[in-house]
Amino acid sequence: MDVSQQDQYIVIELGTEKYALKISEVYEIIKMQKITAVPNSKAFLEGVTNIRGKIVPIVSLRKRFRLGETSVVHKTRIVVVNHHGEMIGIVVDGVNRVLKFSDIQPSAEIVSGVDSSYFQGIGQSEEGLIGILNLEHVLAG
Amino acid sequence: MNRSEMMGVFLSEAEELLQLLEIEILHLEQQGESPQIIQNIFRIAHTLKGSSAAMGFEDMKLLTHEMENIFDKIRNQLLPVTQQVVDVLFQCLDHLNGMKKEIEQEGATRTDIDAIVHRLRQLETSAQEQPEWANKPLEDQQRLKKWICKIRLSEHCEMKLPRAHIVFNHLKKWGAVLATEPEWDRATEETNLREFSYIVETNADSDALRQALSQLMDIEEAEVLPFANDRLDHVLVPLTDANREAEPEKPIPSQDRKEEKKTGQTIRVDVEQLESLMNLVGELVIDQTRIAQIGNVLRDRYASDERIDDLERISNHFSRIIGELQESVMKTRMLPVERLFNRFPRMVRDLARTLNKDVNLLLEGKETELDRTVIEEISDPLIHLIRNAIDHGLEEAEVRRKRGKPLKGTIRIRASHQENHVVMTVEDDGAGIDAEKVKESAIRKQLIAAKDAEMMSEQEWIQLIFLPGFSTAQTVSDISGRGVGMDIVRNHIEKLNGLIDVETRLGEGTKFTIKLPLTLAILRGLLIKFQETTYALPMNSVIEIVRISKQDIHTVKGQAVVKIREKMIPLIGLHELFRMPSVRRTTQNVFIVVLGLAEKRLGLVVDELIGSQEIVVKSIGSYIGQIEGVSGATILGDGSVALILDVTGIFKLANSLKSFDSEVMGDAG
Repeated sequence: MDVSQQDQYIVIELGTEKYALKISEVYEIIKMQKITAVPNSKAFLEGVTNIRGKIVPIVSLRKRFRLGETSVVHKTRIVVVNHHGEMIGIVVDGVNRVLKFSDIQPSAEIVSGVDSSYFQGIGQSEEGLIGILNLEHVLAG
Repeated sequence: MNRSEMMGVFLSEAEELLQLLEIEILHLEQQGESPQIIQNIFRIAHTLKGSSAAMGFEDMKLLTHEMENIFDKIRNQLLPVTQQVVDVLFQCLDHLNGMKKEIEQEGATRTDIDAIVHRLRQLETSAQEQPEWANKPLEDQQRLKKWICKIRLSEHCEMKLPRAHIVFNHLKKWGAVLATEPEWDRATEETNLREFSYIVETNADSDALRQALSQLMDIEEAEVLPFANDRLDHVLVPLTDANREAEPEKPIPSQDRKEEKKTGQTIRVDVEQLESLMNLVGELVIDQTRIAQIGNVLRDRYASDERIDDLERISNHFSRIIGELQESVMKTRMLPVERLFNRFPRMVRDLARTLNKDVNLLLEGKETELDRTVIEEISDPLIHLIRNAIDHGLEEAEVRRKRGKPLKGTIRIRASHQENHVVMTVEDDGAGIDAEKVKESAIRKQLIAAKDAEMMSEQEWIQLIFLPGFSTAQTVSDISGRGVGMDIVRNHIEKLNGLIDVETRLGEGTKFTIKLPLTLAILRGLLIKFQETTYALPMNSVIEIVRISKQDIHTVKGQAVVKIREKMIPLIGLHELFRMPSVRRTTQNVFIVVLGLAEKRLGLVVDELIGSQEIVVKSIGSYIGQIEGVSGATILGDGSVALILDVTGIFKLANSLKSFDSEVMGDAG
């Protein structure tokens, strides 16, 4: 894969799990705010919220990965990404840090419990191996 | 100006020109050749040729060039305007429109123009070969004169230098262009030049030259002076007031008022910019509501503080200004329906020819303005109505003769303002709708039970044409009636928060009336709360709001109903529609919002009424996509988002629920 290894990633948390998102895909990170539920839509869609006058859909990574619900804590964040020119917020349990990977391996079946198609690779860092999310697949469906 | 900006200008210009061209060719067909029309067409084709050449679209240039040749022949009376000529011209127009679309989408043309060019050339060769000027004595042709042609481009001309080049190319056709002022190399650096001079050696006289020049697009003033001096720089002075006094200004023949207006007082603005302006104003509206809310809270808390009075005054002033601002911005999004109407003559012509009917199309109220989004959305339903009117409404000539009607059928389309609405009517003087036939057809197609039909009035029978699956046409023709019909039209219009009604008189004609809101961007909404969530309902679908005691809710065949003024109205909760868990109601009284969709009624159970206010409609975006029962979202005073419920969708959802008995609905209506 043609990924510059100098690329920076942000590490997000979901319970005890950690995942990485390419920083160039992240539009902004905001604190949890009021979300209006949208009926009859995607199962992992939390609803919509207002970000500076724009209606932004919010999805739950927990629901997407079927990890079970937790309550909103002060660390809960919405990571807003750009998806085909549209802003989409992803609710995560926390945003950890920004890092660079020393090496990126193609994702194998090593990701526990979660469908490996959600990942575009496994990054190696001093914090260990972290799955890099494939946003296209995570948001599709 | 960079290429993409130029492209934008080119495309919007091309669109206008093609529309004008269509109108003029129609005129040509209807009124025959008049110098005026030919001149107009010639000018339009020429401008189009110039700008497509400037943008490097060779095929487009070539085709317009060939068209120009034809118009030239027509102008010189070497080619009569026959139906065949008009047909080929329309085909050219279709090709040009196709190319324009390709340029828009792909940046280049790929339409093959060989066939159409060949047809044009055939027409051309069929014309007499001897142009008039060839008969003139030879020496007259050879007596070349030198002229200084000075032009001043209109201030609003958007591509001045390319335009000047076009003029240059045009002049080359008259003879040799010996010099220009400024020189082209120099001109490229000064972008805002408006005045250009050319020295032309030609056998034409000054009047002819001036005439030709002033008919080019965007030329504000043209002057042709004899060139007697050998020193160029001496004579090539800019047009000054003194110069103009010496030679009285000739008004530019302007055949088209719209164009004059365009170059005079308007500017082109990107639609996206208007959208974002509208969004910003929407934000202001929301914030203003918040300020007013906070003001009320403060008023309660510090009733005696004078500064609260100040705050209120400012807040009121603020809301008035925002109101005006909102109105002004809305006005900028308004377009005259002419834009839409211009598409109809061609369509009606083609259709009338296919069906072999003679149709007189009357368009009234062209200047009526409405929001551009509404214009786009209303186009399909209107086209459908017009097609129906010509296909099913107007009788065959033979039938009309027998009925003593004028052989030529009339379709009248009218637009007008009525308070906060635009009313459009499509009227024909055809056969009218036979209520009896409609009823029978509906029963035959099992859209309605025979016993129910007998209890209905004639007017109600006619309303049956709006039922899904209804179509009275005996044969499924290419033009209308593919089983989708009036129900689609009605759905479309209801989606725009509009209403459609039909009046018909057997043997005299039918009139469809469409009532639409002026804009889709803002609507008056009723805010309600259901299970801790706020929703907005479009106010124009709310028939009434009632508060009833729990005991008044009855169950008929498993469906909750309530009797309001002797009418049974089915009740439904949003949790049923949206499959949300239901919460047991503890209060003794419930609020019912009665929603109306045409003659149907439905009671929506709500927990709380918040009030009615102007809401700014926003899309929930393509990621979430269409959700039945939800038309969009809005931002509330506290910054949170409320979904806007779509009444058409709610009725659809309700009908799809198993427990929801349509019998009850029928009784209610």
